[in-house]
Parts: sequence; structure tokens; C-alpha cells
Amino acid sequence: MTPKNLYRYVAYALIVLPLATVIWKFNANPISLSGLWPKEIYTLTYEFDLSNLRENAFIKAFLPQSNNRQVVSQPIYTGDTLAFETILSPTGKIGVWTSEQEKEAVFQWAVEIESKKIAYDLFPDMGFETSFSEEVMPYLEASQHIQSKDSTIDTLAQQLKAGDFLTTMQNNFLFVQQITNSNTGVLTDALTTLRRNRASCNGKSRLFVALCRAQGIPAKVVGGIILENVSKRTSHLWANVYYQGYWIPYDVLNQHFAELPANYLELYAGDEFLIKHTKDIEFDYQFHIQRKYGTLTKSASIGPQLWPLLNQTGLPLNLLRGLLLLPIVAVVIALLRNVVGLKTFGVFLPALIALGLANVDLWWGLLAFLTVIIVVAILHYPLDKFGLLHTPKLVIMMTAVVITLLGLSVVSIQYQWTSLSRSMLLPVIVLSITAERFAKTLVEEQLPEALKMLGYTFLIAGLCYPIFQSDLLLGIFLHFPEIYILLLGLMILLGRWIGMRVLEYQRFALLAT
Amino acid sequence: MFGLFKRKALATNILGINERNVTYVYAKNPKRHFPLADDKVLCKEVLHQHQIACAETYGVIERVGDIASVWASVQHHQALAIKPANGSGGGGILILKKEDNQWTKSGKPFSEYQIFAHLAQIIMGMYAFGSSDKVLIEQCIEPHPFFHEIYPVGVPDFRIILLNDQPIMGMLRVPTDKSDGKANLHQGGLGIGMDMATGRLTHAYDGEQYHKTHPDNNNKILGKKIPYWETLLALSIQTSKAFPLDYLGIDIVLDKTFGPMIMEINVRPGLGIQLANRKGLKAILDSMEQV
Repeated sequence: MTPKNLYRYVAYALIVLPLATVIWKFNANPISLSGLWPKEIYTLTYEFDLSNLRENAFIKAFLPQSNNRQVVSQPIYTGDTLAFETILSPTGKIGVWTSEQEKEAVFQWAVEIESKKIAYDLFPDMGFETSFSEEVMPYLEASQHIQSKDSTIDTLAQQLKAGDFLTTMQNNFLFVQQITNSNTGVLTDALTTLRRNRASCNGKSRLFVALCRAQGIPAKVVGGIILENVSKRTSHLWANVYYQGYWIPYDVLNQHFAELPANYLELYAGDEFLIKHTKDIEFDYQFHIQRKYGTLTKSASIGPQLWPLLNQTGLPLNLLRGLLLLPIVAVVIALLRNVVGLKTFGVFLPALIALGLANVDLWWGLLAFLTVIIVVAILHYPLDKFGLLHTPKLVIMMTAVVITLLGLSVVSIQYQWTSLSRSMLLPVIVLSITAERFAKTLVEEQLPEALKMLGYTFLIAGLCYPIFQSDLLLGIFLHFPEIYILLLGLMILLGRWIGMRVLEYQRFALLAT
Repeated sequence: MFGLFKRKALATNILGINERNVTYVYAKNPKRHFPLADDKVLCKEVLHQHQIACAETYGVIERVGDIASVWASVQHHQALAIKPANGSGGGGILILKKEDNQWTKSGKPFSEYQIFAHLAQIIMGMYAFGSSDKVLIEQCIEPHPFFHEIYPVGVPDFRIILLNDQPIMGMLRVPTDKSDGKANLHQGGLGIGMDMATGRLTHAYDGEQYHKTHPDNNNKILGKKIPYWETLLALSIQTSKAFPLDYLGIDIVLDKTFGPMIMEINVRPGLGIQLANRKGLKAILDSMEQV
């Protein structure tokens, strides 16, 4: 091992060893690609505080079940024990806690939940179904709070009914949507909602369901909890409408048409109460919800893990992802510079630009960026003529950047281009440096060269942008942090690589003959 | 677009920027000695020490407070060049000439106030990316008539690349109408290849194609004999030996009266010289390293 080649052996070791541990970990605990993805996992804890319990007093609550869009872990029970059983009813899974004697009890029942967004595509040529199976038939009938047979509701339903399923649903949705929102937790039935023209989620959902049923479309209300990082007592109600074997979700209050966001936890289907209990008990409850990033299916749990970072630093995911993926982005930039030969303003400026664009819409962000650069480039000419010193000149340019961004925002607010108004979030320093480098190149190398470098800078920024957004890459680094070491090995090799850059073949093409 | 055969031919002959940096710039030049080349004031100290022909240093200004006294001490000269020690690409260079006891720039009067402002700007780092800098005031080079036979404006210079004190490739850089008096290749100047064995100019390269004459005035270039050729080579070798740097680009000008003079030295000489000479550096360097 000569000292001359020492770097090479070090690099090989840095590449081979992490690769070996990745393969070993993978073999020991095979994970699927989707298992690498960090997802939002919610821990949902039902906390009950009961006192004045008599013998045989009970409390019933709907419990989350796994289905095609939500996965629910095994429950964990803590606190005072009561007799517990679960009952599967057509409307959902019910947990029943019964006290065998007089007592007080405080207990928690917790599960972890991973769920995904679901959305249905409806097309204008979809007709109505006329015959339904046994299980679906009951959802055409009127019920106590869903008075679909009431003449007021029926008349309205027939007015809203169109020639096809999609238009009918849109009509129903728009009608219920224009009803004034209220925050009441009180049960509101369909008819009251229509009469008062004012309701919360439960009244709106019942009216929506009643309209569908009156139109001959099976529908039911669905109860659940919107998962967010808080403790709360409120549950939520939305509607499922039956169409060709699917129950399609509609949440009029929160404007979800034929779709359900990932953080909607379904608990029961039907006009039920989430929690029921025997009379005379003193009863309090709370849902504690905690969001964390991870995977429910435990995977590659060997060796150091970076998962705790995601949940315990309290940093926003975007920021953390930017930090964790910066090395891989830097490697990509190094390859593009030293192997391809792209010249950019500053070595890592493209990465900073990409990181800055992550907070705004990509295309509007780029537009704002270009506007700023043009303004500063024009400004640079008189400043150069005046012979100003570097630092005061930078201050003037930075101020110009801020003024330009403010101007863009004022204009975009006037025209209601919300995405553009967010360009205020672009990093002013990064903008200023890029603009200054462009202006400087403009003076030293003239326009074509400056434009070329600007183009390359944005090209590389554009390539870095999706890397910074990638949850899959984030998952890979969280599972296999040793890949960072591997990158070091690669860079040692690249640092001593003496091959021609791709663009140099072009530059010296005249000498190839 | 590019045949495998051609790629291979290029890869064996041309020195790319990666290989230049790894194998030559960093391996041959200790990093701590880079300032000797990058800083014009330090560079000239070494040159003067070894009595190597170069523009005479009239004065060095390191602080704004010294401007007046140093400026007063150079008043007996009739022409001078003011340069930032750490400038690049010719930025901040001011050539002043005395006419009727009045300093002029390009024939127009240049007031003492303007001069002092320029000196202060150099010291405050206007041409050195914001870090403070020094001013070098030195003898003004009068271009040799040989250059005017090619192009009448500006100061052309020779660039010679040396490895281990041996000249291996050279070019003459000449301004064009497009380059606005500047001789740098990427600013629109001409790079003219040199036959190192005979000391004659070869083709001129303008960034796109080769010419036998100057494209602006049709003056002869190809085959033109370089004056002081032997002195020029000897001077480059002497300079290379004076510096603890083994891979160098040395810039030499020809003065009307004093002949070849060292302008500056460069530890990261550009690779465009290969295009000017229609020849790759790699093959030459490789053969030298094997010996």
C-alpha cells in the first residue's frame, strides 16, 4: 500500500463497508420500496375519565379498523382496567368497557394509524343505477335524522337531480355548500339544516345524504376523526355515496368532492354516536393525537436510525429534508461540474436556489427569480460606472431585490396570483448573490457567457429541486445513514479523477482530427 | 455526435481541467506558495530579488493613508501603470502618461482626485472581491514594434507554460477589434500558436476558427519570426527556477527598449493554449513525466 494510492484504498473502504451493511440490513430484514417512504403516522389515544360507576355501567365507543385506505395497529391499553370486549356491528367496531363494581376509572386506549388519501374520478357520462343489493338497500330509506321522504327535501332533491350521476352530485354538493357554516356540536337533522340554512358538519352531511336518498342514490353518513397534532374532543361527520360497488366520500363542509384526505380516520358508517354510555356516570373524554414520521411496518431496525430526528427535533419536515438531502445534492452538483463540466455561479449556489424554491411554487418562483436577476443586471451598469465599492454596491442590489419582490407581491395580490405572492418567501440573500454574480459575469465575460452560466445554474437548480422534494430519498437516508459515508468515498475518488469533462470534448473538438 | 475514435484521440492528447488540477497544479505547486504567483506585489519581490527582467516597481501602497506620500514619490516618471495586486482579468489596471505636466489617461486629462479615488478603490478591494488589496505602481511597458506589425492597439503578451523549469508550450495573445484592446482569449482576443523549436508564430485562433493572418487587418502571422526568441525562453526558465512552483504559466511582454520582461506568473494556466497550438498538452507532459 503505497502512500500514493492510499486515498484509493480509503475510498474503496468507505464505499464497500457501507454497501455491505446496507445489503446485510436488507437481507436481515427485507423491506419493500414503500416501506422506505417516511409517512405521517398518527398515534390516537382515547382517554376516558370515569367516576360514579355503578355495577354494570358501561361505555361504548367506535374503534378504528383497518380498511383499504387506513392501517390500524394493535391497541395499547394503559390505566385502570375495566372488563373489555369488542363487538362487530354493521356500522363499525365497537369497544365496550364494563365496570363490575362501583369504582372510578381513568384509562387510555391507543393505536397507531397510517392512512392515505383516496380520490375517485367521476365522468359526465355516468348514468344512475336502478337496482341495488340487499346490503345497500337500507341506505335508500329515510331515517330519524335523515328525512329523505319529507316533501320539502324531496322537492329540492328532484330539482337538483340532473341527467347523470356526476352533475347530480355536483348540484347536491354546491347546494349544501352554500349553507352557512356553524360550529355547533349539537345534532342537527337534515330538515332543520335546510330550514335554518345554517349547520355544522353533521347537519350538512345529513342533508347531503337525504338529498341523495331522495334521488334514489344510496348514501350514508360516516363518522370519524380528523387526525391533526392536537388533543381534542371533536369528531367529524361526512358522507359516503354508493356508486357501482364503491362508497365514494364527500365532505361538503371541508370541500372534499369524491375524495378523502389522508388524515381522515374513519370510525363508523351510519347515523350513530361515536361514544355512548350508561346514564348517571360522570364522564369525560379526550382524543390525544400525535403526528410523527415513520412507517407502521417496522423495517430495517438494525443499527443507528435517524427516525427520532423527524419526530423529536420539532423541525418542519421540509427543513429537515433539505438538511438530510443536502449531501446527495452536493454530490450531484460535484458530478455535473467535474464530470460534465457545467459552469455555474458559485459551487453550491444552485443547491441554495433549489432549496429556496422549495418553499414556493416552482414555476412562479423561477419567474420571480428571473425578474429579480434582470432588474439587478440592469442596475449593475450604472453602479459599475459610478465605481462603487463592493459592499455598498451589494447593499444597493439587495435592497433592489427586496423592492422587486415587494413589487411582485403587490402586483400579484392585485391580480390574485396567490402563488406569485408567495415569492416573498424566496431567500433574499441567495437571490442577491445570484443576481450579483450574473451582473459581474456580464461585465467580465459579456452576455452570451453570462447567459450560459445563468442557464446552467438554473438547470442544476432544477435538477436539485426534485431531489430536495424526494421522500423516498429521505427514507433511504433515514434507514441507511451509512450511505453518507459511501458518498464520502465516492467524492474522494472524484477528487482524484483526471478524466476529461464531457463539455471539454466539445471545447477541444477542433483538435480531434 | 462524436465518434468513439475521436473521443479516444482527444482523451489521450488533450489535458483536461481535472487532470491539470490533480496532476499538475496541486501536485507540482505547494499551496502555501500560490500567493507568490497570485499577488503581483509578492511576485515582483521575487523577480527583483533574482534580478529577472520585469517592469520596474515605482511604489507599493498598502494603506489609504499612504496614498499621498507614495504618489508624491513617483511624480518624476513620465508614464506609469497602476495595478491591483490581486486583480484578475485586467480589471482595475490604469495606465497614466504625463503630457505638459498633467497626468492623462488615453490622451484625456486625469485629475489627481480621480487618481486618488482609483487608488483608494483598489485598496478597499473593488477588484479583489471585497477583501482589501494593495496597489502596485510600476513602469509602463511600451509595446515592441513587432506587435504593431500584427495589430496596432493594446499590449499583446506571450504565455509560456513550463513544467519542471522546461518550456513546453507557448502562445502569443493579441487583441482584436472585438476584444476592445484586451488580449484574453475568452474576451475575444486571438491566441496564436508558437513553434517552440523555431520561435515562429503558427496559426491564430479566434475561438471558432484558425487564421493565417490577423482577421481584422490581414497582417501576416503564420511563420512570423519572434524577436528575442532565445532571450524569451531563457527568461522564462530563469523565472521558473526562481519560484518554488513547478507547473507555471508565465506571461512575458516585449518592451520597445528593454526587450522581454516578465509581466506576471500564473499557477493555474488556462487550457485554451492547446487550441491556439492545435496540439494537446497531455501527450507532451506524459512523455516528460516518464523520463
